[in-house]
Amino acid sequence: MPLLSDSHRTIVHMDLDSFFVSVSRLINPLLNGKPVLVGGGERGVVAACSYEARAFGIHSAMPMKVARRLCPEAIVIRGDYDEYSKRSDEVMQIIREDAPVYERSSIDEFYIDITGMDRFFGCYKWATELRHTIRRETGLPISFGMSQNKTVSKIATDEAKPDNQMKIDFGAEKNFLAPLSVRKIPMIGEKTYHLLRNMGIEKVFTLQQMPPELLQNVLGENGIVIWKKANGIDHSPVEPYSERKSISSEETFNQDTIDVVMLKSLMVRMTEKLAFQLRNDDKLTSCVTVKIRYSNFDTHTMQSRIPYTSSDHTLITRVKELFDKLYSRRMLIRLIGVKFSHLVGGGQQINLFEDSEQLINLYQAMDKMRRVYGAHAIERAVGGTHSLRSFNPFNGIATAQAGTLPKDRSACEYLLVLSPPPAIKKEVWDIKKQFHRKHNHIRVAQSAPHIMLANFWLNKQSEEAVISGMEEVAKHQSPVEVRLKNFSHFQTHTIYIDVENPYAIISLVKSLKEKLGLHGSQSFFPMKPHMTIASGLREEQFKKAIVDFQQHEFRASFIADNMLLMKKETGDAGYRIIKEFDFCSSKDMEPAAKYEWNYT
Amino acid sequence: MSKNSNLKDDVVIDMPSSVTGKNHSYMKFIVSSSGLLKQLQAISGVLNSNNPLPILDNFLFVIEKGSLTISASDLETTMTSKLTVEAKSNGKIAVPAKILLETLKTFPEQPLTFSIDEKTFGIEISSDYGKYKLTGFDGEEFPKLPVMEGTRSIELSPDVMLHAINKTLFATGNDELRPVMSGVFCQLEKDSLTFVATDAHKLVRYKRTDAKSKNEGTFILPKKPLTLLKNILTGTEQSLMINYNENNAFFEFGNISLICRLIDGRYPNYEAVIPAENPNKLTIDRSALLNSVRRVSIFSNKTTHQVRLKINGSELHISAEDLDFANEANERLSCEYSGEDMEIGFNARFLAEMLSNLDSDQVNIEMSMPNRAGILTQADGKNSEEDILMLVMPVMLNN
Repeated sequence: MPLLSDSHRTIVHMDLDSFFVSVSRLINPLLNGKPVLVGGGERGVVAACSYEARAFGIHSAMPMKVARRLCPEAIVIRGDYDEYSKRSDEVMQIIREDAPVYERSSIDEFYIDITGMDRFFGCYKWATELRHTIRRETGLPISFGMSQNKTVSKIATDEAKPDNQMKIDFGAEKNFLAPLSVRKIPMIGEKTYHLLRNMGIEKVFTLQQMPPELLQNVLGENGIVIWKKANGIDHSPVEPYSERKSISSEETFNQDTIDVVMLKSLMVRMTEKLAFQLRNDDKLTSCVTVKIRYSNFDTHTMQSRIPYTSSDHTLITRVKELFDKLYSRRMLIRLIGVKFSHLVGGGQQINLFEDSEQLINLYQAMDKMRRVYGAHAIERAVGGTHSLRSFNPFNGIATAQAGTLPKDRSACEYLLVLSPPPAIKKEVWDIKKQFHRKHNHIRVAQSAPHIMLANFWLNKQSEEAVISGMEEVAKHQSPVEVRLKNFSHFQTHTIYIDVENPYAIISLVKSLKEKLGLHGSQSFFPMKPHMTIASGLREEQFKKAIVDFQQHEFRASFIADNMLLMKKETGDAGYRIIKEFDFCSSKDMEPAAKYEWNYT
Repeated sequence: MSKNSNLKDDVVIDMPSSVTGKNHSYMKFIVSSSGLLKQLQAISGVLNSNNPLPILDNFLFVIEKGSLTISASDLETTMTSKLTVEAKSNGKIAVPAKILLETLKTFPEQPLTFSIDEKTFGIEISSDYGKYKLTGFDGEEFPKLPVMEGTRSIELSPDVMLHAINKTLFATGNDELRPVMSGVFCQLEKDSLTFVATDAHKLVRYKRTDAKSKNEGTFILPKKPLTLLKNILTGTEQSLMINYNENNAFFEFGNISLICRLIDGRYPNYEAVIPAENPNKLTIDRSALLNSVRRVSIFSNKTTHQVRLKINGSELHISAEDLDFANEANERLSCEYSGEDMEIGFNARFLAEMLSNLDSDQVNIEMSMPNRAGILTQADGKNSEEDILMLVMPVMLNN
């Protein structure tokens, strides 16, 4: 950097006006012209506020509670820091194209050293044009100050705001600063300000007149720096900014969704793809971030630090954990995203106890296939068939894509049931067989006696997620007593055995429905528990048959301590059992919990 | 301060009147300043800077029949030291550790007189220069030592213990989720003693066949008492007595003893993860390799310390790079090698730690695959009774 005695530097300070608010307004124009506060939570502070809000005496870093008292009608929004940094990057791109040396000192502030540019263009003209370009291309209001050093330019920007510019000529710095409040000097915060005010120093002018030794006595080493700044002296250079790298992936849905199973499987796919990217670039991550945007544009992110890794299973587990913690509101989701940051170059350190050789070989084989046949050549089945749009993994920007589950030809039919013990099963079978002989109705014999809990169609790839959902439900379900009593019928098409105590089963069905989050069009959760004898009857068949059953009495009861998942693939004649979910026995559950309480 | 000259008379006159006057007892002893400081420093390593219990910021002084027992504790580990003093009565008091240590450090060798009012816990120290008063705490508040029942014992030469600690301690882990790995696993057998440490990325197994135990047993010693033991065992020859049971281990050595809680839990099955078949064998000068690894790793990534070892015939090629700064280093070393040419990545810090904790001139490195452990052993062991195996897991290289 040239620092010649006979020449001076030209430094521009650019600052995006109430940046967080401006970005939020771009996304949601309804916020225009209204007092807006950006900041989080009950106990949070105001991270940014619009000029309309400043009129109420609100300033950034003020506790949110105080701000709300000052201006109860202000609209409070949670910050979407990913969006902010994306917009800030856009501004930086524009600056990077034109500026010789620039520094990003914060998310919304830039210093540009344009010393010597006046030989070709007027510096002020150049900066003005840059400001207009940024305004035009990003739609964000921006101000700048120009002078011979960083401090004066920053103060000039502050004076120029909002949405304006200011130039301090060489030699005019002292006069420009003199009438300002000492508070305007960047180093002077709340504490120093009060100290100076107590000494009777209010304007920068007074500081300028004081001997620097006196300030040093009061403020220590900083005193000298403050004195220099007050006199418009600042030799600090513009330090080129280097970015900390991260890779991320985001999906915006055409239709907002609460399909947790789909969301999770989508995140598995994103994670898998990013993890491959990490390994391919010889990188490791130590920070995982998950992002959710709800349908009302509220955006929440959560991150977690982990030991350096690039292995799928560690990352997938962490991403799912974060999602479960983050997704607290039962509200439609518009966007989800996964980000890995704090990247360093290197390979995965293999763990002596946790990484089996098979797993490492599997990863290496999978990666090899991906390198040869493309990133999608091989994937986890749970990732489903949602096609991830192609995106740039180093900024995650991409186009929107539908996130709903496609109806697939490879979908199978599933049936989740409570199965009676063999004795009752045989008894009901006998009734069914008898019915079959007497009325020659074929559908009677098609399935074994059961009480249906759920019937749905599913893509094979999503099976794993649904099964884990069922496991979760079964874990918290105590065995159900089922008392069967007499026969009944649905209109004239189905004859069944009634359940005398349906409520336990209904609540089980409800929790399954909630947990599995299956699509309404592709699933059925019966709210009237029953054990079918015959279905699909024609009216005349029904009339003949029902007479027999109305005269009959039937009573049986059993404890159902598990549920069975059965599956029928296209072309299969019947169901086969693929999984048994044991309910937790109440003995295991209650006393353990009690013991814990007593213990503490 | 003005009564410097007749200080001793002062104390002697004071004492009997107050002892006999009321039920108000005084404790008094005279001790050499440097002797006391030496004992305090030997055990002061136990003291934590921020203690959950304020009483733990103190040394416990117990006088019994002319012998002073000093203890320091952090609840997990307690160290005790004994020295003889001139004392007439028995008693106990907790003395603030920091202030006592700081004071003692400033004295040249001289006798110090401690007079302690056991009612108010006021402590008065008299030196040749003057008097110093501070307030202690009731010695009864100091945590009691655990009573050890059903103990088994073993006698060891301090040299064996010291070696075992030095060779293994660096390989212990820091993961709070896996506390067993933060300690050293001790396996006492009839024909040998084995010490194991691992953090899941590296593992050390140190075995001595010249030290034996009558009783078989295993326990996991935490890191802190081992570090303390290492300091006090250095440069001594008195034998070390270890008593242990399910929960605690008690080390006795000269006039110092240490009792610590053992880490509870099952140590991982380390034998199962040491690969047996390693067809690729490399023998190389230990210090040459260590120096190369250290040098090359300066150019590696500052977080991962990743270096690449490439073996072709009898040449070992070590390289590292840091793409962020465009740093790169390459070195070549000659070695003896039998096996297929291979390329494997390691964390240079692990390699350097292991190489510097081996003693031999030549070191063997046995490997099989780039994603399997490398095993370091001493090629020319100076002590045939000592068997040391170090294992390091590689990092996955992207080729």
